Amino acid sequence: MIRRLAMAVDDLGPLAAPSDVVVQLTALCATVRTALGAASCSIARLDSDALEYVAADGAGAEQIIGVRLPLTRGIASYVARTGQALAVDTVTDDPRFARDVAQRTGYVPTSVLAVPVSAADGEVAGVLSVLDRAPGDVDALAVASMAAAQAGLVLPTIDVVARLGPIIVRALARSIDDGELADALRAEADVLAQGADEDDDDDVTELLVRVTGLLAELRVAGSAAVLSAERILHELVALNQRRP
Amino acid sequence: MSDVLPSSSEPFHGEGPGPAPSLDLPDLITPAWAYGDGSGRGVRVAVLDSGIEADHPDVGAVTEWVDVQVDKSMPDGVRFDHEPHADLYGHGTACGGIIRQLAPHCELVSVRVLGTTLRGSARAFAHGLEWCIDNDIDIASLSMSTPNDEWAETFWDLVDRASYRNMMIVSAMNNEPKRTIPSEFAGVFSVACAPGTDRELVWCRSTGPGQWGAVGIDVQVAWLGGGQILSTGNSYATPVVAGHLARILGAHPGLTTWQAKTVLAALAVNRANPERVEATPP
Repeated sequence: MIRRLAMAVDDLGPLAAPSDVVVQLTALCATVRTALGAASCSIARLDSDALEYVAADGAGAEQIIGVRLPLTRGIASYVARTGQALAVDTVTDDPRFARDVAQRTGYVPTSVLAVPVSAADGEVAGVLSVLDRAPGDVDALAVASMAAAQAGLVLPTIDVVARLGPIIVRALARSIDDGELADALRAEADVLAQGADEDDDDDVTELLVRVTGLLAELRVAGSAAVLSAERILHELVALNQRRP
Repeated sequence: MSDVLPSSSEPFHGEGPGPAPSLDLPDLITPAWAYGDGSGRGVRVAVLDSGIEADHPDVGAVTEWVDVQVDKSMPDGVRFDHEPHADLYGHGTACGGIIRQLAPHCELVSVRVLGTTLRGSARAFAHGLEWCIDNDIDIASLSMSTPNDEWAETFWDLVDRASYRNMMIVSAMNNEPKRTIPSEFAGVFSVACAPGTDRELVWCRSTGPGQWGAVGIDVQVAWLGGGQILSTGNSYATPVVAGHLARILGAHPGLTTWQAKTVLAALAVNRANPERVEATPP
């Protein structure tokens, strides 16, 4: 039963992301869309070889959530690959672009402003796209950039939490055979560490290995230590949410 | 006027950047002398980007292809593929088309530097630039940069090597106010957007980064499928400066980077003595 659950959680992946982060990002999209009088605003997270849309507001928002676009083409993909913002005012002049977008999201924009969402380490974590902003005096690039900076504070959380869930459930499944959850967690951390690609500089994997190892340590610690650790974790999360 | 003003472009708007630095020479540097026939013939110009669509009517022939792939199985961790490649996004085609418009007989070299993995793109970018230094490229047009501090020293070294070899690096300032490597280094031609749509015009500031200005806001550029789009970015100002340099190098092979800067500054639309230079480009 738990093994099946582990497989299901693996399949779900980022869909098991913490909902409050998605709520924050959606609110951010709504703010940008309103500020720029745009048809829609969306935020996609970068997941290895694809952009996955996690939050959106406006036209086509419902359809685009959960859509995964390969990084092989498209304006948002270029932004993700290069980390540089791009403003295109007449995307429909490229008929191939229009067809792609129409098929996948159901909304064909005329203009796109896409800016990279960067994580704290400077690496691209996603892309914020504004479709069909209204003409005006507001510096659209500056507004989108500021929103992207804000998104960069929370977007990587999705990755960590989404990957941590399956790790814990897999460890639970493993512990049925091995008996000890702490040992199973350590085994999962070892698997992660072996799978990490040195050249990829995968900070998320490194963090997951550390967190999984700490969970294993907690499991064998005394109850007072567990309570202390929980309090520290709680304070750290609160501090992280308060930081500018 | 667009509502998008790329970062570093502000000094070229409003009151403008003031006069370009001038030597006030008794015999002026004229466009006719500087550009010669304006063809850029014999000048090897590399576009480091997403590839170039070779059969695009705005681009014409591509002389050489290099696809830079991060590959751990190779001794240097990188592989160079010289088969013709596609433009994955259209951005490189846009830049190639602008250079071709200004210097119709230059030799365009497409250096595709997106790499195979996302995190490999800065590495591929650096290796692509190094390939240019080692392979007789005269002008490298970089409509991309990295904000990542970790790469500063690598690119600093590459810019110095390029300077000493007199390979000119023309590099777009980031559209957002972030670190922009190597564009912010003094050894490159760092470019941001100036007003208008006339690619015959180049601006020069006496300070930097973002020392050079050219049009890049709401400009028509080549894109995938033989088409064009309207787009905005320092990306499109950069190949304008590269195209002007290709003309100058075509007329004066062997010019050093600092000589080329002096010549181009003398032709700037905001030059100190505009009345003394004929305004008509070749």
